[in-house]
Amino acid sequence: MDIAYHVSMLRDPVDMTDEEIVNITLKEKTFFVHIVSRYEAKLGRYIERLGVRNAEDKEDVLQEIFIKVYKNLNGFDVSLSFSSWIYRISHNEAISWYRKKNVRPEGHLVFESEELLSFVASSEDGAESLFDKDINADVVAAALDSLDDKYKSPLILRFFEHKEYEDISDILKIPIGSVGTLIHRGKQQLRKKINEEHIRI
Amino acid sequence: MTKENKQQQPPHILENKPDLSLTVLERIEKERLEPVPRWLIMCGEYAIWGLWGTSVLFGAVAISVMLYVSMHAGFAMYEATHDTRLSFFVDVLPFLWILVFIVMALIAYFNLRKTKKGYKYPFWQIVLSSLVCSVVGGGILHAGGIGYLIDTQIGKDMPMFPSLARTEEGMWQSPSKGRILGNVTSETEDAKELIFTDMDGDKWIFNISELMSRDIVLLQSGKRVRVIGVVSSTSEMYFHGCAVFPWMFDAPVMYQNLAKERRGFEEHVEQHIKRFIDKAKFDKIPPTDTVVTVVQKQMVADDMGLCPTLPLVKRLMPQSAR
Repeated sequence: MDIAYHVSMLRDPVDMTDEEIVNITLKEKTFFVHIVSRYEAKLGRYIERLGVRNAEDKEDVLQEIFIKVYKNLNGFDVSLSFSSWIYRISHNEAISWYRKKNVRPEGHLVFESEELLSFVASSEDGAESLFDKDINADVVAAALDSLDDKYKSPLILRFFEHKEYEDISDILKIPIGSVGTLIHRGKQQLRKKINEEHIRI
Repeated sequence: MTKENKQQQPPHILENKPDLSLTVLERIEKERLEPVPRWLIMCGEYAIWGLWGTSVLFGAVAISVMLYVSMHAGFAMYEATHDTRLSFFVDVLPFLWILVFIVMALIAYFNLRKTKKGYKYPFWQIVLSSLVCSVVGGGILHAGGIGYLIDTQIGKDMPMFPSLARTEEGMWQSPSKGRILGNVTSETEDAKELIFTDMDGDKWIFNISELMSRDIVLLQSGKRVRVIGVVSSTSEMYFHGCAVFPWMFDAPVMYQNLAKERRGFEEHVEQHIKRFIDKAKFDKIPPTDTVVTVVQKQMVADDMGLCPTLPLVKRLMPQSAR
């Protein structure tokens, strides 16, 4: 065990898997910086999409996420991917943040137009027929933003974080069958909202 | 992650912000934070499973009592206490245990959901697995006599608890409806009368003239018995017995005893119905008939006694005989 640890210490952390970094971090806490730098940008974008928009708030929430991750490293379930586990913690932290703040995020665009276009053009499960291609990306983003959290989170994870159904199930702690259902219903609601918005425009 | 990514400048450098990884590390050092020990995390997981196991066990106990109550309630003689099987069923239904079972099933469900992998399974699978565990466990506990033991013991310890024995006592101790529960405490000079003390402590002069010989043997054993009859005089506390059945809730009830009880009940009812029909035949003979005299008719009426006139007997009588 110790030999494996010392050998792994000689390797470049960039080439290590998340799980290997976790194992080393449990013995040498400074290694945790590699986890932070690996996930900082991804999780930053994710919590922003979930509604943590202010830069200072985002910084605070990210800090809390990584502190929580560090404190719970021993609870990391090796049957899950580390990515799913850290996304789960981030999701919960973001949700509890805006519950604490007693706000519901809305009205700001946090989706890059490229992502939105690929979302609109997605060929999965009839998504391509969801929207009229001429619809403004702003309209799609606003509609997505106004969706109920239970639909918004699976859609964000699927189409913007590019997670598989199984990962989404692990992140949101819902049965895999429910992931499909929520994504399907989310799309329906999204279509309805976009149509309403489109008519208004 | 590729080498190219490694060479990219992190956003904090471009934006001239403090490095988050260093901030986090500083905080870990400053606040002396350590990962929660694995054993503590495992304890939490075991506690959830333990709570699940406990709720399933209590659910199984509730099922075992429900099985005991539903299988051993006095269905064999429900006509003696109720008009319909349904009304009897509603009266003996162990609502408290059903409630306990529902609460335990809910606790089991939420605990299983809280386990590491609990969220992976759909609602029905979680509910069904907990139910199957409780039902199988309940069946095993019932087979081991635990259902009887728990129901009886709690009934003895808690006066307000509606155990099966207490429910049956309530049904049978009702002199105004022709049912009493108690035992013979002494004899009288009259060979056709005994002194019977019921559950409320009331002493009755008990007429045994219409009882079968096996009823009399049972009465004379001094054991607690259930009696169907009629209060023939309240001023003198006079009870006319029509059928006697053993009290079965002093020990686990055996199925063969229930079947035997049913046969005994039917025999008593048939006997009283037969006497009623015999009298009806005599009544139909015209008074002018020279063979049957008024005296003979009176003898038949006397022989019929009080039991064939019981509401219970009339209710169970075939339509054609009424």
